[in-house]
Amino acid sequence: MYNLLRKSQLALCHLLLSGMVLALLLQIFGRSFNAGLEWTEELSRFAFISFVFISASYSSLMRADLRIGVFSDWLGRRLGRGVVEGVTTALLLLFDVLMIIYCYRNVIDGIKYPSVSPVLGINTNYLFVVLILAFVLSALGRLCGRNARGEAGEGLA
Amino acid sequence: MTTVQWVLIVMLPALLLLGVPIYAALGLTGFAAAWVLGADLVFAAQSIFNGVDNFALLAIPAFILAGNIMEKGGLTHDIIRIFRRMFGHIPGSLGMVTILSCMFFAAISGSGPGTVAAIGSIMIPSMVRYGYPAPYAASVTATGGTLGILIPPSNPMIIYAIIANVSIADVFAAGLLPGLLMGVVLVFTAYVMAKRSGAVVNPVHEQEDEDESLGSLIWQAKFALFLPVLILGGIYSGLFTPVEASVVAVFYALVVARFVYRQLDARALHEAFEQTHRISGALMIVVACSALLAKVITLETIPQQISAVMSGVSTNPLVILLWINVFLILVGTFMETMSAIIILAPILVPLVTAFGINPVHFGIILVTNIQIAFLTPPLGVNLFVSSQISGVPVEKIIRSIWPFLLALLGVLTLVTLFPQISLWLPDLLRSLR
Repeated sequence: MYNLLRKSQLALCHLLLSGMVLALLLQIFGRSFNAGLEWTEELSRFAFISFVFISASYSSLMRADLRIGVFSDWLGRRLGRGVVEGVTTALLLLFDVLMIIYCYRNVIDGIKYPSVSPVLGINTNYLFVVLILAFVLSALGRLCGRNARGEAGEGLA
Repeated sequence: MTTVQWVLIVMLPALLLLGVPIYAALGLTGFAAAWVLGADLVFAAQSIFNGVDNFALLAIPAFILAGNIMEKGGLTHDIIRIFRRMFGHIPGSLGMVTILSCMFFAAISGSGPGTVAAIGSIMIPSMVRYGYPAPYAASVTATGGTLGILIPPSNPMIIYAIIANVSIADVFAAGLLPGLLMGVVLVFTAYVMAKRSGAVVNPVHEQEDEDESLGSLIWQAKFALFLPVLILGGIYSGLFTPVEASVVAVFYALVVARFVYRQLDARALHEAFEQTHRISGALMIVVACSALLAKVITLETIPQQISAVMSGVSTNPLVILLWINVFLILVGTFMETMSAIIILAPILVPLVTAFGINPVHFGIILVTNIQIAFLTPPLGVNLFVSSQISGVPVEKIIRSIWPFLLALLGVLTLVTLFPQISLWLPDLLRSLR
């Protein structure tokens, strides 16, 4: 299950990041040759938004998410590591569930009141489906129990 | 205080201290605040989505990818060889070489810890091999890596420019002189520290460098050396936007690493992409969730309230800036880089502009503070990366990092007191356009 989650998310991230970069490259060429490729900007933006949430889920699965570990490590030693990890995982699942519910509400709202992108004519509320997928994958990853034991805070900016 | 303000003050620190990932701590606090405000929680999910629906942000994963491809493709090694050939004959000079290499890599990667990882993996073992104390090697690399976010292109600067509603190109240009100044000060500090340690007296003779003249090494590294010229030259000549420049950097690095250096096979490319997913994913979700919190902060008119309190302290902009510096240094000890910018910039930018301070100048002050935060425990990110590479415990690195911290504080004071250091170049470039 863990490997399936990892490989599927990795493949999606490869696809979305490559798509974003290629669309932007086309935009540069298009502008240089005065070819109207306005759709490339929208496509790259949509690919980027999707990439952010899928890669966040992947990053979480690989235990690379940013956190402050100093105090929780100390707390873990006092109360037991399992207790702190259990509480953290429960809170993360709560956030996943909240996002799934309210992203779904955004999709439903989008069907009633579409917000259409100017060039590609895509209902942008449908992009919330990608967020639902990302947070479902994220929740599944946590339930697999492989990413519950995070290391101390790490920033990568 | 309102209930929402209590939620912000109690819940966010509690979740962060509990070790909840920063994005979830921001998101859960935002949801709770929106619920207390009586807002439809659909608004919370929308704000998180809108947080990354900004075209300029596309440059961040692209710059990270370009840096990873360069590292996997062997371009970093050539840059280090040049500086080692130039200064290696001076006893105790490997610290200088590390800082200079970091400065150069910073002009490509835009990331602090990314710079530490790329340069440190080559320079730390090299310094240890030549008898430099391991804590010194780790601390000089951690410090050099901080230049990654001040010398353009810089990922935190892109985010600041979007929040402060100023030109990304202006903030990039404003960071160049302070970055170079900081580099020179750090080179000097590294040299003095190496001499004073007493353990470092032997010059470096790498056989591979001895066989080559400096001119020959520069010629070999011409493609790596040209990349910053392409990125920054493209942006300032108006040829590319920062987003386009990031994509050009990816393709340039890809072509050079694959066809010139011939070191980038399918496996290395896969690793470069995988690393980019992990770094970008961890980073950008924090940006997304911070947008929700920033909205709540704005709705609660918190910046205006802080501004009113600060006006009572002093009406002198310099005094306000010095207070903000003290505050940022304290906050930076336990807050992650991007989160600090995303959470604090919406509060501080209206405050400083109300006091007549240029937001571009303030951006450089903010980024310089964040640079210092990379090195201050308990959450000094560069310390962790350097410790991982060198195997030196963080506590030992901290003990030898104080002279570098003092040097950084000195430059921060100069940049704060003399806005011309940061504003001269963007003003000049604007007048030339």
